[in-house]
Amino acid sequence: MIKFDSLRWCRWRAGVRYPTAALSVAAAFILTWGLKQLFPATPNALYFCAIIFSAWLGGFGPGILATILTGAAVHFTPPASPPLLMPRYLVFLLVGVFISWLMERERRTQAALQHARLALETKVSERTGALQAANEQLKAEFAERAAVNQQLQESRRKLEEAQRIAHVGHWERDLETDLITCSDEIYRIFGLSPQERQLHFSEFLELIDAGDRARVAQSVAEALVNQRHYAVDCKIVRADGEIRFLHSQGEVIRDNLGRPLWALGTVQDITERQKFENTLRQSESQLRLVIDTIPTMAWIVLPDGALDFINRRWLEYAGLSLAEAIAKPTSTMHPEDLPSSMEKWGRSMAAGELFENEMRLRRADGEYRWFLVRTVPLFDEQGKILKWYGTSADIDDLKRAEAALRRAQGELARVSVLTMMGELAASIAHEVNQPLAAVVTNANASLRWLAALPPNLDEAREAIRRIVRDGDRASEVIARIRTLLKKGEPVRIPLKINEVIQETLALAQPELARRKVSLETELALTLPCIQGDRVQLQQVLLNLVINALDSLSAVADRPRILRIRTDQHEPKRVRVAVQDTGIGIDPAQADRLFQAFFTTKPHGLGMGLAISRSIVEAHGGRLWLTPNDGPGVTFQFALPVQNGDEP
Amino acid sequence: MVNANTQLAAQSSHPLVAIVDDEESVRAATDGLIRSIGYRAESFASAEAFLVAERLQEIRCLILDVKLGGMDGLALQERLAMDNLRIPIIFITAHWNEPMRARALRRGAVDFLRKPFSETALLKAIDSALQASPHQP
Repeated sequence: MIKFDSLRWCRWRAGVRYPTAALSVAAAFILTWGLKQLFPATPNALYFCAIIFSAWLGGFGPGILATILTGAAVHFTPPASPPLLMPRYLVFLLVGVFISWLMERERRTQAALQHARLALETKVSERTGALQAANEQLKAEFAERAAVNQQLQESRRKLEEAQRIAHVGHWERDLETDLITCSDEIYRIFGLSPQERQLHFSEFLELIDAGDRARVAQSVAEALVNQRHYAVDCKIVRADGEIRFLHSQGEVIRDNLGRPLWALGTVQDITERQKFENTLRQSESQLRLVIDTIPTMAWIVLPDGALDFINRRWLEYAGLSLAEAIAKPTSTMHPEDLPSSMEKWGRSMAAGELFENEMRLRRADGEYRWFLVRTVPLFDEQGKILKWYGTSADIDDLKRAEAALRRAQGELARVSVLTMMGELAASIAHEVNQPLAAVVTNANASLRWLAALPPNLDEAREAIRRIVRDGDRASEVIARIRTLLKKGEPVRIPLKINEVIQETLALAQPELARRKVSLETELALTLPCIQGDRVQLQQVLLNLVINALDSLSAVADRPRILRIRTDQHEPKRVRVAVQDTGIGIDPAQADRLFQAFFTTKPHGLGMGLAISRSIVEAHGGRLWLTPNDGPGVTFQFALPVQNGDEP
Repeated sequence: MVNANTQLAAQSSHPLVAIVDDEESVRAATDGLIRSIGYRAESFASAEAFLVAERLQEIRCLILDVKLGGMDGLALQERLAMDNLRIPIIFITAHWNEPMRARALRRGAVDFLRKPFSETALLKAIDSALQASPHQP
């Protein structure tokens, strides 16, 4: 800005300095002339002013021009002033030149001064700018450093905090001085006040429990010699006697030649973890003890079928070593059970479903015992099977007990049949005696017909035909009773329930007649077959019929009716209902009716309904009781239809 | 005429024996046996049928089952006594019952036989009955 102004000033001055000189002289001429009109003694000194002004303003050239113009003006001024003499004129010229030179000098000095000042100012302002910029930068840097410092503080604080929370401290050991610089947390871990003093490595070792000290020292020493890294666990006893467990690890920093310079590392207080691990280990070992000692064999199988775990009980039972068991886990299975079990197991594994099977497993002494083997899958969050947990429970005794129970039940059932037969004895006697009486009589008659003269062969033949017929009938009755009394394993065959009912009624019919009970049957014409044991079902029916008859015997004031119905109860069930119009059952006793040894009869065993129910349930059916709308009750049982047999 | 004579002759030499039993086999067998002896026989399935028999008056002996559907043997015995029809009765039964037997005999029954009965016992009883019969010629 300053530069620009001075330049303009110089240019302007250069352009106007000669005209200015002329104008100055003209002005001095006019002024001097005018004054001379008023005061004729006015000197020409004003011209000097014009010369000085021109030289000051324009420099040496315009000064000379003003001097020459002044000389000319004085020379040609009207004669009011005395004419200039040559010497005077020369003096004047010299004075004018001198003044011009002086002024020029002055002007140059001024200009140089001005120039120097301008240059100085420029330089100063430049330097000031630079300084200012430097200052700004410095300020920014300072701010930045302050921020960084704060961040550093913050992260240091966080580190401290983290170390405190994690019970981890860090340290650096100068291997030259063996002095150790550590974070606050290390002091705290060792039970010291933070930064109370710088510790020497040997002091550190002193803090470690005597039992572990040598081991730690050795680990560190080894790391210094040939390793980079070490890690060691140790115990310390704090000054106040508290015991802590530490995990220490460190690294050795070496120079280019491999000489150790520094060691640095961390110390972690793992007391809590140690405690937790100890608890865990304890509970694990307890669990392990439980698993090993429970009277059940337990194991874990991986999804690929490989054995992952097997308990001691298993090994003891099988008398195998762990290696043998792992090599061939199925070696203890009974050869007869192996194929079906493996097939079932394969299906379970493929479907990821519970596996349950009864199988025989060989004991160490070679005896096979029955086991209930169950395996359940453990899934991860994605539903993938991680493992299969299996158990084998010894059910051999249970199986034997079951078999014994079945035998006892069978015996009891037979006793029950005998009891029923006892009740039916009169009817059965009648049923057999009738045809027997007829046979004897017919035989006698036929003998007579043959003995007659001439023998009446037609009558004899007729009588013998009746003998055959009645004999057949008697043997049928005997056969029915024998079947019912026969001891034998239940045989499941497809049966038409209506046939079973007819056979039973044939046995009971005489008793019905004897007790004056009228029978009504409503047997559904198209019923699917059921799968069952004929004799057992006859037994159930007979039992229900006899119960009904007993109930009806006490009835005198209304018809004694026994109604037997069959129908299709549910899509897959056939129902038989035995209904009487008897005295009914006290609702309070209805619940106990099916219990063994419960009876409402004076001479009853109390087994009939209990056995009937167990027979029906063994057939996959259900036996129940409903009171009638009118007098009496209805016993009903429903049996599943034979698979694939639909009407 | 011939018919009437024959019938009369038959009546005298071949006494009519009635059988009441609801058991068809016994009825048929007894009927045959009576005829094989040379008597005439007529069978009824129930007491009610017997009571409406055409030749009721001709009957010289009744072989009666105790247990019958409807009116039973003992009731029929009482009924005949009330009607003053003094037909000698031989009871037969498959259900042995001592009080019943005693009662039947007390009321004048010829015999009380348990099924199956022997031929001898039956024939002996029939003989006794025929002798006791008021229609004896």
